Amino acid sequence: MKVAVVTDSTSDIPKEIAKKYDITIVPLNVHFDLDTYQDGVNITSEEFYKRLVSGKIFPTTSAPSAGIFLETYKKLSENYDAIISIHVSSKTSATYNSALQASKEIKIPIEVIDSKVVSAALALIVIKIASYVKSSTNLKNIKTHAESLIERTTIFFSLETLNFLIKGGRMGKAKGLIGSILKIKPILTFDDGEVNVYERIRSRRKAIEKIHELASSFAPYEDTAVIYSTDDTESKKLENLLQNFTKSKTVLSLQLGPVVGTYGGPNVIGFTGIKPDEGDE
Amino acid sequence: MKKNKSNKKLELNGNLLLKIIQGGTKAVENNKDKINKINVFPVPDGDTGTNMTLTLKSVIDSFQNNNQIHAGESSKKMYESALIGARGNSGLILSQFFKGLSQAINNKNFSAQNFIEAFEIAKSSSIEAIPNPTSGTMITIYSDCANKGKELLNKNIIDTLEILAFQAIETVKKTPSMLDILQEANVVDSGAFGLAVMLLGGVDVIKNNGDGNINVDIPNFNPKKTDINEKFFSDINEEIWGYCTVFALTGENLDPENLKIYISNIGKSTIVTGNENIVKVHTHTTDPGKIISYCSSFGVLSNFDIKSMDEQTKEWIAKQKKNIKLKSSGTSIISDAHGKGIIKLMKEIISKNIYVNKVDNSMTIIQNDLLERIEATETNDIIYLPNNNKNYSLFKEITDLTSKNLFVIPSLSLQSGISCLFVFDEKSSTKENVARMNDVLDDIKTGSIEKGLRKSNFIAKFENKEITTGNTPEEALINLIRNVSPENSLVTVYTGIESNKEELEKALKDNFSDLEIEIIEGGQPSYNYLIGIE
Repeated sequence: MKVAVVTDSTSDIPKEIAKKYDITIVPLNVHFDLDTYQDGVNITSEEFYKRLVSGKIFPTTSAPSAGIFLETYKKLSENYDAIISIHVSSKTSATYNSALQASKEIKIPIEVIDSKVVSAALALIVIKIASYVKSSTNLKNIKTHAESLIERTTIFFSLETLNFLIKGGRMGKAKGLIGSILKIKPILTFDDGEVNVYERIRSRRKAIEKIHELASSFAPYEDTAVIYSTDDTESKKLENLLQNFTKSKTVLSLQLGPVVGTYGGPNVIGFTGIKPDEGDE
Repeated sequence: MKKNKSNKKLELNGNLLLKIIQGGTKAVENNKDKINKINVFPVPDGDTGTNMTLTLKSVIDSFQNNNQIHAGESSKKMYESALIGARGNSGLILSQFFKGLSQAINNKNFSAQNFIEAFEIAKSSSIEAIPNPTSGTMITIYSDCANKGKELLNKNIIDTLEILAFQAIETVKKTPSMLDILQEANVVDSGAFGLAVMLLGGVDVIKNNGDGNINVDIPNFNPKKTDINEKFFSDINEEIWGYCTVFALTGENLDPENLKIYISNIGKSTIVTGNENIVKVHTHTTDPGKIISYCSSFGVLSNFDIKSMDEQTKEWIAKQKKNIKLKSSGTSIISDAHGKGIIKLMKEIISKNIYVNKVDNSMTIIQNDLLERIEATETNDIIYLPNNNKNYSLFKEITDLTSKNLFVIPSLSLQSGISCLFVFDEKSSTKENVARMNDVLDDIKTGSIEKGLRKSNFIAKFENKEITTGNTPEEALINLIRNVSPENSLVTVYTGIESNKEELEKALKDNFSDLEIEIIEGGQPSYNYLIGIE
């Protein structure tokens, strides 16, 4: 049985990898005022960040409609026997709901899963599932495996400014930081599908130090990835560090695409890792 | 299914009355420990069960045999014995029940109605005798039973006693809702429960032909629930109670009312009950001698029972505390500050359990005020940030003057104090937080800009040493930063009352484009700028 793997563009999976693992990516939309672009289709990250940093207009985003998902699923059902569709946290985007709605209209077996995370963390989960479906074709098992990966995912990141997150209304449990007298550069994480503050830090330098510290203290990992938005100098250092703690020996380096970049802004630095299953070996 | 006994006609004489009381005594004795355990009002000395048992025993022990014929005479004898032998507060109120019986029963045989009347009398004399009659205690039992009794017209003694006993249990269940201290301690009233047990013992005798050897569960009491409030304990500890003083006075023409007035001035929870021949005194006082001397001039004193309540209370509290989760965990912070913006910032950084102590420019502190503040703090662990370099040694002494766990962090400036507050994590232990704060102090260096003696002269100090000057505060600040040249550091500038944040921001950005600088409106009156470099 052939199982198709679907995700959305918030996963920031590079085109080559998507091709290699046969992953279908449904794009979200980025809006700069009246201009609408499909994430990864007709706007590149480079173009996006140029506009973001220089322009006076704050971009906004929107989720793909259920119709788009239905089209995608229908097309896949011509060549595949089942579908697993893993998406950005439902608390952060309406994407999951669109996918869920569409899945109800599809005749072949399909599982829609809420990853509770975004970007590289979502990417790692999707890529691992993409490998998994080559050997296991039981949809229930695949779903269980995905859920296990989600449980074992850690993500920590630091933003240069919270303004984009605040303007985009995605502060989640970190809301308390809004209007703070101090300019806080917190270490953020995803907690039950929402952004949350892991620790409050006041300077960029200390934030980066802390990210390195966390990378070590949460080790070891099966797979890891570093994330950046406009500048990968710091993320390269983080990559070197994580290599020591990653079983698969490869650390992915992913740039935040336009949709996620809308909320992260410039100079994002972070990492994500999937911890080994305690039950294994 | 009624037992044989009820077919045989009961002779309601002195013998039966005695048997009923004997049953009640046995029941209370059986359940004595339970009653003791829940004793929190008026004094948590854990002896209500014991006291009621002893009081009842002194009643039945005064009868040599079970051949009492005249119920009226028996009841009077019972009252007299109860009065003399009454132990503790509960014993005294219990004796009022016997007063009721003695006044209600005058004939050879007694009736169910007599018991109902007895409750009514017990209620009113208890209210008269006690200084602060409260709901949720034995008095409520008397009251509720008296009222219930009014509904029971012409019921026989067995049914009457049984219905009243069950009413008593129902009332016991309600006592926590009537008395705050019971609610706080999560118990029913011990005396009320004891009374209900006594009645159930009597029922066991006349209904089941038993002897009162019964076990009664404490209504609605879950011993596993351990939420007794710490405040309850601190409230107890604060009152100085002294000695529980009880004695009997026998004489002629005694005036219980007058005695009560005198004794109430010296002792608390004073009960004086009796008549012109026998008076029983019960009071809580730090000076028992005074009361005894006074009363000895009126007659003969006997049945002394004087014990220190402090000891009893402390013992009881210690026993309870072993089973209880106290609510005084967690860490509080006391932080000295001045400057509107700085105070506001401190309160923003730490939202709970912080007291920001507003001090004046000189930042001098009166030791007593600080001690008071410390004692008034709810938690046991307290972190104190003096935020100035003047009286640090004085503050260190304070740890010896308080029983709380006081940690004095050597923060010598407002800037370092704020940085310490920032690293506080309420999920960590106090020790971890103290360590974190001390680490921060190692990292931070401080500076200040203040007006010099000459006109247009502003002095820049760094780590308490004057290092440069400027014609304006801004110039001095810029010179200071340039002088120190902090690389890879976060520079925080707190503006004083007269500064302009926007202008400063621009000036600093222009001069130090690659430094991380944060400007906060501190509002401190004494320094134009305070600087922290981390």
